Amino acid sequence: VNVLIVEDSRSSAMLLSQLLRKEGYEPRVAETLARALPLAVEGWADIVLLDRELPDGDGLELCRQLKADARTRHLPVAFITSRQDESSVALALNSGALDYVSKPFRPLELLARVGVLARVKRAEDEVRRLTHRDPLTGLHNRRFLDERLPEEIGRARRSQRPLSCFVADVDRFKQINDQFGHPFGDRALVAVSRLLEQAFRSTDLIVRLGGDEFVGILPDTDPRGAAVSVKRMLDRARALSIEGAEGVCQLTLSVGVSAFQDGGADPPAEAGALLTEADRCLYKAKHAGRDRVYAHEPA
Amino acid sequence: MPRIAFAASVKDLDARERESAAPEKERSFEVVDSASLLANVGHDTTLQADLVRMFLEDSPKVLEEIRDALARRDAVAVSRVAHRLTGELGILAARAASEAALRLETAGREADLTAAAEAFAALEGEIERLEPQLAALASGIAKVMRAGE
Repeated sequence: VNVLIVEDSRSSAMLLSQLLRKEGYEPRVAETLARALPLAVEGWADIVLLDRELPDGDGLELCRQLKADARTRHLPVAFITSRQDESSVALALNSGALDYVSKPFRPLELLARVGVLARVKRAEDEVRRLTHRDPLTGLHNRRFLDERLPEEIGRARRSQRPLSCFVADVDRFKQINDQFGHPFGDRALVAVSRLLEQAFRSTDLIVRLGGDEFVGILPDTDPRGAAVSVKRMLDRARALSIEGAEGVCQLTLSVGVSAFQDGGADPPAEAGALLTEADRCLYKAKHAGRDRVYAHEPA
Repeated sequence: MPRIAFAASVKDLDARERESAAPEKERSFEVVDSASLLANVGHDTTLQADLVRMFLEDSPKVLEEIRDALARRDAVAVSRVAHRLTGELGILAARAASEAALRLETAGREADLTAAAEAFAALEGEIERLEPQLAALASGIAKVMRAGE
């Protein structure tokens, strides 16, 4: 269990780290809010322990930020601070924190409280796995895409960063199913899923939409960059061989890539447009002979 | 210089109880409540020595930071650095010093620089009083020295 300690006091940070490490946790210290945020957003942290007064701002701000962001909303946050007044405690808990510990803390009690946070995190992970994951491949599912794509679009708009999207499907998947049977077809889908996960960054979101159709959301990526990554993935797909008692089969994929262009619409509408455009490109790739990628070039 | 009383481990609690019955004048020399300090670090004497060393190393710089912030009349910085110190002195179970740091933090937050200057003077005095006892703890001389013995 990874614990992110956001604390600018060297000795408080060391004390916390040592106590947690002895208990089997993996602690890491960020002295500023700016250093803490990426560790949370990029998925390193399981639990966040926050001080209030930090060199670049108030820990409350980070807590609010984490709770407003789909990527970090599920992270249990606790404050550990020497402010003990009632309104500070209430403010912190109302901002989304699950616990509030005053300094100096009692070590055994603190570790027990962190244990509670670890249990909450496990339960959150389980809920998210059940609601947002595809049981066959372990990839994100359509429900996840519907919730997350509009948020990613909102973020791209605010930060003025590019965002690309692809829709991929397995060429002649029906034939594979018919020839080798559904269990073999399922294994092929799992193999394609692993391939997709490995071909893209951990910050990219790979979704199984249903059947043999997959979607990728690539933040901070323009369509040209997306097409390069997709081509590399197609090369690897060609080298893939699915083996089983039923036989051996090779497969290829066709992919359409689209890019978010700020059209001033609301994020859910933009999300729909982005997927439709990628679908249109996928259709072109199919008609041009399959095993290729078509990218929509923004005007 | 007066000798300072502190306990090195839980088994010295007995000695501590006797101390607490000692006259006020003698007790006031114990500026770090060593039993609380040991409890704060989970009874890990190595960790305790490391923390104390770290504090002794850092505190001149921290006091300098506050002095600069006061000179700049930067109440926000005063409050922020004092907040850090309040926490650290709390871990060290240095009650009077921690209270002085908290007064400084509050004064900073309320942008009351006159009160902040007063609290800072008190804090400097308290930290000065701490140093001999902390130095002994840092060097790991873990034995009980009772005032007046």
